[in-house]
Amino acid sequence: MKRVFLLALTLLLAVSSTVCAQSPTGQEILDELSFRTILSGSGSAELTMITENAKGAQRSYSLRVYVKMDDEGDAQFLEYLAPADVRGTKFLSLNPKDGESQMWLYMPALGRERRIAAHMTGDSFMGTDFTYDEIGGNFDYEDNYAVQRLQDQAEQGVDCYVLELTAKGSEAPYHKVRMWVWKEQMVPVKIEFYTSGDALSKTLTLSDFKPVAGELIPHHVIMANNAQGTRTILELAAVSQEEVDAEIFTLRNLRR
Amino acid sequence: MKRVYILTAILVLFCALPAWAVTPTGELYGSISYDWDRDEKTGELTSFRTGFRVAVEDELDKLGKLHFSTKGWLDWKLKDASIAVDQVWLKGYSGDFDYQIGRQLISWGTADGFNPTNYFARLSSSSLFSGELSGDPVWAGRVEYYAPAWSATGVLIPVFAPQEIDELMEQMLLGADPQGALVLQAIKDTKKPGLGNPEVALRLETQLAGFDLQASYFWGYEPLPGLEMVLDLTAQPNPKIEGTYRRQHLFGLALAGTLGQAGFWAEAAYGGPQPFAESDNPLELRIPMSINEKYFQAVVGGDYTINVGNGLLVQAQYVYRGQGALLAPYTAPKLLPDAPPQAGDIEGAHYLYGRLSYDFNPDSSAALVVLYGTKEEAGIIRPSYTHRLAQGVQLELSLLQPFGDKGGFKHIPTQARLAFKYQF
Repeated sequence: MKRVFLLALTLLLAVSSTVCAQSPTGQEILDELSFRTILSGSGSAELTMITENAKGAQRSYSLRVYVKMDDEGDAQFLEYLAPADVRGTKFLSLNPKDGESQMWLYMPALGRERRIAAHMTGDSFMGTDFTYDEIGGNFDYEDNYAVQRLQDQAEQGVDCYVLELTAKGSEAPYHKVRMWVWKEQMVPVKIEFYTSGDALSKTLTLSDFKPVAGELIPHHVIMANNAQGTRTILELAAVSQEEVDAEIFTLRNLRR
Repeated sequence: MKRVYILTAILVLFCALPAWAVTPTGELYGSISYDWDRDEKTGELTSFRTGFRVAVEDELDKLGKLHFSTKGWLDWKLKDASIAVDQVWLKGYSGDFDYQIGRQLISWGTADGFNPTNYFARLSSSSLFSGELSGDPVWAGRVEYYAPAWSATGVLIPVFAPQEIDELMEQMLLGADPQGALVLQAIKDTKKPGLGNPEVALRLETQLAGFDLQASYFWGYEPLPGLEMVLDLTAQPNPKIEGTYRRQHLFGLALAGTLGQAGFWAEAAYGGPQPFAESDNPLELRIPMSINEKYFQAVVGGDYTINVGNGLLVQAQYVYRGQGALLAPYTAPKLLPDAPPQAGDIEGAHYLYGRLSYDFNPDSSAALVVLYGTKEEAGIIRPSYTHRLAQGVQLELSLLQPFGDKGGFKHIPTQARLAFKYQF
């Protein structure tokens, strides 16, 4: 079973062992990246998340993340382990294929969960440079963007295809997305997100790829907010691709 | 003596920590409050408090959880101190059941701060106005049953614990009426129901059309005693105020979900206390100062993030309280010419609650809380700024400012507060 664990849940892992065809089109490359495989399978991980402000001051968080995807949709469960001011905060996202996404945030001081409104999915997740959408795995390239292949470039010392995704309508969270795809491994190593007016909003950088259960997983991920000069750095500490019990992705578990 | 027991228990527990192999967590904090009397135009340092909360928790090999936490404070200005058990509970998982016993936080409902269906986690005035919205724990047993599409929770409180009256509430009660001191004393003198007078509640949860839906029932006591003015018709007018904790039934509904781009929640409860017992003394007149019939209370609210900068979160709530004003739960009797006094009218009260919050960056944020009572034509406004100095260390500067000259709000002092917190 082809299983891929998604770190930080959507944009961060891109896996395909298939060797790409020669001179593929942009759409073919995007298909090879196969975002459906990003969310396929299930697993868990512990990671360190570092937020960095414009002055370079950093805050470090420790997280435990569970991800599951099957024919019915995908689900994510995230728990803050440290530092103390957010310890015990939990986030549950359920994204059924045939229904609306639902998200809950459990806050230990409040002693109960809160529904997260759909409008917040485009907002910053817990003060990081990731949006709820990006953390929650709801970023839909296939439906919301038209793809075009640009001139190949080298990025992080590897040969890359360069794709430009242009929003088809107002539903897309970004006006334009530019993606550098490592030719040999067909994984993205850098993604730039542009707002209207072609202003560079964020840059996602993926590196330190290591094989986990036969798949390449980036163990070092940086989301830089170019507009604000802030960054969020994810460092994967431990990964397990063992099947995650469906019980994890429930309100019951959120309250435990 | 109670403090000695608690202190001894805490010391024994923490001496055992190395053997238990769990790491304590918690916080140390300090705060300085400065109050300004608007009438006298004078100000003074009213509180200089340092405190702590320490907790230990063990996952018990995924079979459950064991938690113990204690808290205490020392006020250098008031020369007062407190130490107490915060929470101590054992949680277990068995098949479709989760159970929890001990002193625990039981927080129900879907709204922010004003929760008609939150029967147990009582919110102090200070918590409400500070925006902390964290209620008090209670000694309870709780059982939860989880079916695939619904769940049920049952709660048993063996010994009723009334609403604690903090300094802010005391000030408001004292100032609410010329007889405020009598009211406060009557509350303190009211005998609490003891063992053998449990409170119970049941909650059913499911999802309907994408909304979280909760239906609940509570059979317990009023959080504050019902008060009556007692007049002895044979003596000179020398009214007394007497209190009774009355049984009450409440039926509640709560839901939460999304409406388009906005979050939405609503809560409502209907019920009320048993009416005061009729006096069998014909020479005694008892006049209710509390609601003496069933009432309705409801909250409807929502939130929306405006796409400005990092996103400005706007929350708004409408609150209806059929049992009367939020800050003045007791009504003085009506004095009538040539007729005995009668119970004062208790009218439903309407409030608007708003909260704006904005994160400048992960290290600094600002919030603004506004509460307005349409009946009182008054309210409070509380701006605050929080800055995180380092990992786990934060400073908060806030100002509590009442506005309007009616109702209980006018008795709230203008208060500036600087608070420091270190969490570990």
